[in-house]
Amino acid sequence: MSTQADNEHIALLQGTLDLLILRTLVFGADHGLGIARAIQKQSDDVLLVDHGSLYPALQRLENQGWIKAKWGVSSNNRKARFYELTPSGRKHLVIETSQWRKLVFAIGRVLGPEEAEG
Amino acid sequence: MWRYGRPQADFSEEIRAHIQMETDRLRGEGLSEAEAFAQARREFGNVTRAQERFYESNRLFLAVENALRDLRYGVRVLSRSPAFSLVSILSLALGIGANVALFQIIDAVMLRSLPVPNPQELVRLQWKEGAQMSGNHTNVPAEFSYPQWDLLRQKRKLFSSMFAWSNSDLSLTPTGEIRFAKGMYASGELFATLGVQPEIGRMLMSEDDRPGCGVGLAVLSHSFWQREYGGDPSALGRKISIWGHPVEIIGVAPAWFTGVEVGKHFDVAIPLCAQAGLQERKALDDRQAFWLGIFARLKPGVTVRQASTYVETVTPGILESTIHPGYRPDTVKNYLKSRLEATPGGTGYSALRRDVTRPLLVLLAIAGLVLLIACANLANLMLARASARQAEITVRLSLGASRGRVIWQLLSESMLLAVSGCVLGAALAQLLSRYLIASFGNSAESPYLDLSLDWRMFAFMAGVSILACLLFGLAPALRVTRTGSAAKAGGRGLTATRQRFTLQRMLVASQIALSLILVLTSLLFVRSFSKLVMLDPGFQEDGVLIVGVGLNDAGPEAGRLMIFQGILDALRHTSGVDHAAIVQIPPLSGNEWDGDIRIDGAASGTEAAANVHFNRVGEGYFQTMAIPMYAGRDFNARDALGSPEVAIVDQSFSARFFHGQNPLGRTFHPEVSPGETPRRVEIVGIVKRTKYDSLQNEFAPLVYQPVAQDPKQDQGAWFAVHSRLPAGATTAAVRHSLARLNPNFIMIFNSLPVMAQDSVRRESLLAKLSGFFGLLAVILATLGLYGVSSYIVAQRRHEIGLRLALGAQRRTILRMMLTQSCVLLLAGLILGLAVALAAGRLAQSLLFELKPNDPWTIGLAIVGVSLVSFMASLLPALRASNVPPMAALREE
Repeated sequence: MSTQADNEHIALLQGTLDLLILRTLVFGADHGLGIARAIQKQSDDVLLVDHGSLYPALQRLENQGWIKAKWGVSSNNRKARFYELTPSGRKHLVIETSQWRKLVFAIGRVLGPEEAEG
Repeated sequence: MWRYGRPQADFSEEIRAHIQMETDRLRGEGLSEAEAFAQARREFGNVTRAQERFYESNRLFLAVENALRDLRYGVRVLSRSPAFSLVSILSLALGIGANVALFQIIDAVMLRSLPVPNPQELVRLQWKEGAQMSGNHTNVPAEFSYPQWDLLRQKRKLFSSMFAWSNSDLSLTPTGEIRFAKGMYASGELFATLGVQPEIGRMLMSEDDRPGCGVGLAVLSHSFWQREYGGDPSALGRKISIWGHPVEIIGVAPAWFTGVEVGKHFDVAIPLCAQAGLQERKALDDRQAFWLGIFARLKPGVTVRQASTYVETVTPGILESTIHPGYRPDTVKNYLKSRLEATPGGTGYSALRRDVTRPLLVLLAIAGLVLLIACANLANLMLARASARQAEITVRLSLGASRGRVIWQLLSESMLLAVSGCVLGAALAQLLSRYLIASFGNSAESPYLDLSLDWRMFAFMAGVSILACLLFGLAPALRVTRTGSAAKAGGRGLTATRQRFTLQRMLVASQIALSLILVLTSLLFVRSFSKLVMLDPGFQEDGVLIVGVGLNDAGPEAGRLMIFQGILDALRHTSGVDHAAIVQIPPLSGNEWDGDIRIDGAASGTEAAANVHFNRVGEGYFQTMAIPMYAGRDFNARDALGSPEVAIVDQSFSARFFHGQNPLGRTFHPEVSPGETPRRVEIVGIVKRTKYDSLQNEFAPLVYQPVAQDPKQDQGAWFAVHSRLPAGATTAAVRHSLARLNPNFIMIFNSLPVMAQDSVRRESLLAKLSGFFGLLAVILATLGLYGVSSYIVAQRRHEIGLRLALGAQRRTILRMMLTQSCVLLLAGLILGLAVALAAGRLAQSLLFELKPNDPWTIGLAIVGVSLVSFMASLLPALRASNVPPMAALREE
């Protein structure tokens, strides 16, 4: 993790990975690698997904019933496990997103306007 | 391996696919196959860590799997030593079974609510402790007179409704040997207050219970309707014969309603007002006849305490207007001092509750102790086994198992034992509780209790098994996983340190203490019972049959005595019968008649007025019952109505009032109601003192008067018959000769020896059960002591061998081992004795002529327990002293 923090990449905050996975899956079913790439691409390569954390997180979401999975074949004909948002996962995403927005807004107010740095 | 959820392999497969796809992409960017794969792996990070995190992501799954693994392991460990497991499960089953059985009965008798709507709104009205109401207390519940009820029913400010009730045996047979139905006199609002809807027809209502209702109407219980009418709805409108009167059946109660009294079930309910029409002793106007019980339903929001205060304030007015004119001034004073209270009535009324609560609690305490001993025993055995597995556990701990996991694993073995013991115990409990219930009854009937399992039972059983498991499993588990002891496992102590067996020794000492308590208790109950059985009641019950004869169409009172005389003659001429006499209150029947007398010229220092027991008997009664006559004469034909009143008193009467002076020829005056002619009675005889209503009650002054001088003659009479034949043959012969005399007689037969047995049932039960538990306790404690002594000897084998090799005498070794056991024994005895003496008060009221601290009983118990314990430790000690030194030293 420390090697990643050295450059422009930012390690994900605890708990935010779940939110990002759910958000990514809104556009349709995808496999683990696809999800990781999508997050990276959407954030203009700022957010880096640790693959070692990705799969346990997917498993956690699956246990909670927010996503479901089945084996399928990837675009380049490889066997892969595809994840898909469930209705309850969709609902959860809405709640979590609005809470996240509130949090960001609140933290922004506490921190105040950005000061110019040296 | 059994799993649920997603298999680990599937997860690994997904990761492999991920790396494969990444490799594909990198190869597309121009890297070689090997480089691409290495890069993909590097980017992924730690695969094993990801797999571990997946595995742990389901905590519940992990816990279940661990628990199952522990259980499987436990089953394997336990099935490797079946003897140990069997003994453990059996001793637990006995302990738990006894507790469950007793709790089941306590639940049924004391805790369960009547199955009526909102039972918590019901209150029972009763007299506070110490109330004295002189008069005839007949028929359970025997608390209120009808005049009292008549006034009380109007005081209903806080009650939405209230009812009075009473149990009474009702004769169903117009003639022949009597057959009783269990009657319930019910005031009009009983069914409405309890919310009982009819199965068919209708229930009794207020309009059905008005004075002057004649013989009234009848409501049948469901079971009686099924039994007697086969559940035929056409029973409605038919007549049922009650005491020879035809009474119309108007309805059948639903099956769930068995009456107000727990442990009893009614057959026929009839309104209170019908008492006057059905039975000869009219109770409705009688201020001295206490036969009713009262329940009320609280208005919403009213508390039991408010109701209690309210009924207490209305008591004086009710008492003032119901004083019996015949009461002496001090009897009136006592009567007016009585106060009412309201108590929660949701659990109904129970005569059984009053009688068996204390024995049940004592037995529950005993059963609890037995379970404790069983647990202490098991803890000891588990400890020994755990020490034997010390090496295995040390290895587990050093390989990184957490202490908690190892404790859990050991505890799950204990839980396995506890649950098996509980299941077997619950099965045993079903047998035991039915036996107990049968023992609470008498030869004629057993209480009718609902023993179905409810949530309380399951909670109790679960609680008992978990408690037991923790009791015997936790200490050994904690002990053996202690890091200090784990470190020791490698080496081996050459001598036993004092501290090494502390826990075992404490357990053995407490087992000895507990078994002393149990042995002492059982000896107390057994001795108390044998005293009661060996007791001389003053009469000979063997061969005596009590015969009740009821007259149909009895005719005027004046002629009845002649009919009774005819019956007596017929009885005396029956084959096998050598004596027969009429008696108003048969002994040990539980019935009682007392009254006040004033004595002319009583010896100085004795009371001139007192309350004594009465009975009326006929000529030959003392011969029939083999009661020795000390002085004076028996009643004879000249003692008739109109001639001077005479009495025969018993020896306790003469001792109390005449202090050894000759009472013959002295006179006394029974209290009479104002307006009645004063009576004067001359004492003409003295007989041996006898027990009166029960064997347990103490001898009290008793006055016999001749039946022939009683101006009131009932529609029936009791006769005592002594016969040389067995009871069955006598009954048959008497039935035959009476039926020949008059086929319309109603007859009832009781054997006096059976009545005597019935009256000591409670003591017999306590003696039997506590004896059984005491024996069990000694066996368990002996096993425990033997087990621990053997274990210590085995552990110290090497040390003993060394001592012997160094020149110690075998006698010294023996003494050393025995001294240790004796110290334990002594400690246990002192502890047990202290607890037993402190707890003795609980048993006091159940003992007959015996104190809980009776020195003989205590001595016997101590000697018994010491002897058995000594024997149990002698064997292992002998084995220790016979250790071949060289063999013991070479073993390691």
